[in-house]
Amino acid sequence: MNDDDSETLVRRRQRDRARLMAVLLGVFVILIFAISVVKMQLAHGS
Amino acid sequence: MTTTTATPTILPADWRDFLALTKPRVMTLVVFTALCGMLAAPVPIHPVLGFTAILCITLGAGAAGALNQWYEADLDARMRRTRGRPLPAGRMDRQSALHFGVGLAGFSLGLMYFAINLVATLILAASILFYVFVYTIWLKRRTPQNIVIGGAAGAFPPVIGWAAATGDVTLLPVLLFALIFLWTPPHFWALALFVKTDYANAGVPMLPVVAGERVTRQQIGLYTLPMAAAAVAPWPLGLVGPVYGVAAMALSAVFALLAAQVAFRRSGEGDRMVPEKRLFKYSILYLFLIFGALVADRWVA
Repeated sequence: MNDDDSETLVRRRQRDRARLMAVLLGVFVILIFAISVVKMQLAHGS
Repeated sequence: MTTTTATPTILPADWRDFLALTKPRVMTLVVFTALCGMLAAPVPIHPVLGFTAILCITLGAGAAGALNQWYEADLDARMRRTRGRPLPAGRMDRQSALHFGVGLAGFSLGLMYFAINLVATLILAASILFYVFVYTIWLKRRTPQNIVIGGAAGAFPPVIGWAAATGDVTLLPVLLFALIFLWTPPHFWALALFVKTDYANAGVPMLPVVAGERVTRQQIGLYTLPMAAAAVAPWPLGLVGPVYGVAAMALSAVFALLAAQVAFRRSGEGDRMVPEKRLFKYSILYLFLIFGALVADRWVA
């Protein structure tokens, strides 16, 4: 593997990981929001 | 004259290798038993919180798996079954695995405490710490009883699932813990019988390597008895109904039959170890079916 190929592979992996991280963070925010809503509902209901 | 040396580019690990670090196949059983423990609880849990609890258990199990692979990279490199894992195959550096494992463990515990309750968080923490420190670091390389005591780590998920729903631990989840705890030795020793050479090459003191096949076969037979008793016990104790009771008796009877075939045979030169492989495969199915029967029993009731 020459330097260009290696560089391309490094960039591709970094991009893939960054995209995955972005998706996971988005999901995490939605999950925290949902948990907060449910906990408020449960506290209000009891 | 100045010389320039090429700096090798450090290749970041692929995200699939991080996923492989969590032992996804082992995790399916963990997730399933945790889910069943939660669904068998007498108190319903809100679906969002239930999903979060299962997510936390999954991430905690993944973290334990990652830390196990971080510590055992040298062993894994010596075993045919495990040498393709990200660390021994050189697709990831150990530091990344360690950071990933510790980070995932911390995240799962934090989220569990925030969303669920302290009891479930403490049991999840205990299961991760037990798997990493007691099983992986302390027992695995030292004693043939490694998977007997270490089996406790894999027995926690239904208890955590139950605790997530109810906030406490009663007799039924303790019996479910005992069932998985006693199921682990016959399950792993059946595997160890047909990958004995692998363990011997890696220097892992599994029972067939240290005490020989005859003792291992005896122990598989012996452990099957209390395992079956723990499986059936919730029925006479009035903790479950007949759906679970009958299923547990039938499934345990088949388990005992397959275990007896392994216990009372001797392998010869070039033996293909068919009964051992059959017991190993059935033991996985057994746990799936028995926990499935537990949930079915709750729904019927």
